[in-house]
Amino acid sequence: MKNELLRNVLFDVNKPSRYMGGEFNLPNMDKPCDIRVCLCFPDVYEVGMSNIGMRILYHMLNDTDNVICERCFAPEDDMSDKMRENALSLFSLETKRELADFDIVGFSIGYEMIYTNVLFMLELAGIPFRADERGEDGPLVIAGGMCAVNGEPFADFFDVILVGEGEVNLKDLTLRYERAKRDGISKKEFLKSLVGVNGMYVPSITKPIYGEGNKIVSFTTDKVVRSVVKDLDKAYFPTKILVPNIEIVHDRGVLELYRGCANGCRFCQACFYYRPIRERKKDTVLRHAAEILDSTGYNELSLASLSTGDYSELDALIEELRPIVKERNASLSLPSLRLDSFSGKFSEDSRKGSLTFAPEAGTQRLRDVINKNVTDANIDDTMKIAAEQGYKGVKLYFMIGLPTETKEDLRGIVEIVKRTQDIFFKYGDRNKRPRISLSTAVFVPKPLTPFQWERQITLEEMCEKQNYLKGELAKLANVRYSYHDAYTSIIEAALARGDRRLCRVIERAYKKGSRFEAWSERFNFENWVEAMSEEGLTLDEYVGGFEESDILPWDNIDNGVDKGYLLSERKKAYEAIVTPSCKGKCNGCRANKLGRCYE
Amino acid sequence: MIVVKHKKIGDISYVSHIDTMRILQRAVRRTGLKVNYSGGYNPHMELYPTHPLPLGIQSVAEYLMVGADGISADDFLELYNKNAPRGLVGTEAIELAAKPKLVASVNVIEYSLDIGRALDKSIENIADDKDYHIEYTRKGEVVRKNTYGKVFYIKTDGGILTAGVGTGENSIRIDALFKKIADESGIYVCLNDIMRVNQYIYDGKEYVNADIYLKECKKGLRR
Repeated sequence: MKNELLRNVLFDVNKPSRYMGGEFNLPNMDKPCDIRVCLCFPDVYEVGMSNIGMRILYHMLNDTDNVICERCFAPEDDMSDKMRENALSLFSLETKRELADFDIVGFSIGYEMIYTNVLFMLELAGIPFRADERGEDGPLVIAGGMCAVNGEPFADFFDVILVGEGEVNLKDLTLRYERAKRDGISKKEFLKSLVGVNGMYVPSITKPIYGEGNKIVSFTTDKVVRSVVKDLDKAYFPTKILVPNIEIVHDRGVLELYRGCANGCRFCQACFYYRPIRERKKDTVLRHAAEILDSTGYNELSLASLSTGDYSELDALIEELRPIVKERNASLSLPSLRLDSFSGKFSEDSRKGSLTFAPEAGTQRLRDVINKNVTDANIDDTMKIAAEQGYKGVKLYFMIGLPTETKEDLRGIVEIVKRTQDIFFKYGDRNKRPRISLSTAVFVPKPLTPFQWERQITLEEMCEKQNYLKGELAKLANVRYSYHDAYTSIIEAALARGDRRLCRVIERAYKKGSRFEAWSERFNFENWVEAMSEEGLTLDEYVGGFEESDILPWDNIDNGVDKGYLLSERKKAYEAIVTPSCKGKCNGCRANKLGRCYE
Repeated sequence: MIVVKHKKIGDISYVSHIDTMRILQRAVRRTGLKVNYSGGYNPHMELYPTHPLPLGIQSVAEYLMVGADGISADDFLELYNKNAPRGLVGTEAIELAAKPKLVASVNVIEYSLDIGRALDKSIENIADDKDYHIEYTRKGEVVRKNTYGKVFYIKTDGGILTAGVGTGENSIRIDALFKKIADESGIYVCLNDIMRVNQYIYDGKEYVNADIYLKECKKGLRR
């Protein structure tokens, strides 16, 4: 009856196949198993299925003896309303099993604005929000992903937060839990046994101790060391992957070239988080390419890494990938090229629409501050190549509100746009003005970056800067300006560097209706302001800067990169001294203590 | 040109027509066969479906025309079934010299639903009723449609409700029609159990099943 009820409910919702699974290459769900894991992504199917981490971990667990792993994504409002109306509990796609019936329910948390969606999914599953309310009953609720770099704002909701790469710690935790279950060990005892294990942060045991003025003075245990894959070339990477039945955001095969980034842009969390830098060998990537195309039928393949242009064997890889792709009537797409690594030859075969580049700051001085090792000459040369190759336009990404930014830096952004127009006029099609799309994001200071101590600019400053650019760019023809919402950036900053007191705030914001807030049209700033105030907190407390001597909420984690190194990078930023790419010479960030960095 | 008759049953019935075409393209690509592509800057695989199956309705009578040469229909069918996702099951395949005009020719589609028992009132006159309406919601708005000229026949037999409805501008929401009929007799139905069972070419005198039509195309009796 329940199945019939679900089938009727699906008649009334948008894109019902989001909730039904049944994709090609589905692993065997009938194999003998002692432990069942449900991997949850707190956003809709189309977003979650595009996540390469989910893809790897799902197949890795299903390729492990005695383990079955299923998936669950956040249902859209039409579906959740129907589920509530019909008393349907949140279920997995593969076997329609209720989440509460799994041994482990794991959430992948990649960005701050989906924290409330975790609560949304837990509520629909009938699982209490807080770990201490769940007791011994029900599944072990865990989290992982990029936001685990600072798990404090959501610490109360999870039994375990996995810090680092899931290929290591998720598998380890699953097998440990399987043994504990078999041996009849209680959940409480099991959690105790994880203390000191790399990559496993148990918030009920590792807690911050607050002193005067709500400042953290210490933690109850030693630091949790982030776990990393030592040898990426030999690491698990699925090539017989699920082929979604509906179009997803990144609907293509993805090749992972390497993890980490050598460039060290001082605002970039991913760059430091994914260190040490580890590459896959070209031949391994080529093998993955052929296997993925053959097993999925995808007609597009993309290269994923933080800075694809910096992959050491990129020229040879592209050369050898072309026939593999061509033979299968597929195409190759290249994301995230740095301005200094764009030579034009990678894009020779592609359609000449528009190119995307991120100079990030308008002047050389500010680019030196943020360590974006891109010169004005790099930008001009790249635009010249693009114009000569017949591109119709460019997309440029910048940030506003970076530390030390002045009006001169904003003027610099406008100057780059003007120069780009001139270059296209000189070297491109004189009869057509290039389409220039310029986008600015507000700088959000993030943990584990040299700017983690910085204050975020105020709402007034954000609006002033955006208005200035809007006015100046409106004077130029064929330039489209868009900017990231200032209000969202403030909440993102607060949640990124927040402490455990924010758990209550997140809970309150959720109860006021906040969910799917990564979608700008659904973001509600007032909910957060009210939730903060009801908890006796202010946003200013969280978006203001930290003292260098402060113990930071995420200092309970050893993420690899040394705090002293981040501090020295911060000092260099204020002196506008650049740090060269660590591809040539190690800069001593100490991430290599976790695993070998570069060959 | 190979024409595959296939089923679309189970959970995959909740995949839309457009998405199903994408799935089928990938399935054909996975076979590794050299299929024909259109010319131009953006070549498209020669893959043609028949009338779109409404979302949530199952079918045992879907047809897919594939521009594949140099392979027998039986071999193609075997490869198709190895590479199609669960729920898309090829049942027959036929090799034709040219693409049949199946979409233009099919003008009646038959659906059925097991309602478990006899209806409380007669439905035989619905096809001739000039004032029979169905209602459904589309994009939040209630839509009311007259079914006259769109329902070719409707009957019940042993608890099975069967209707032949038009295509194109004569099509109607079959789920709304069956639901109205079931509701009038107080019968609870799962709309996902509605099955497309046959596609016909109707010339005003007789209903020619698409299976027969394709066989006649093969013999050169039809185009």
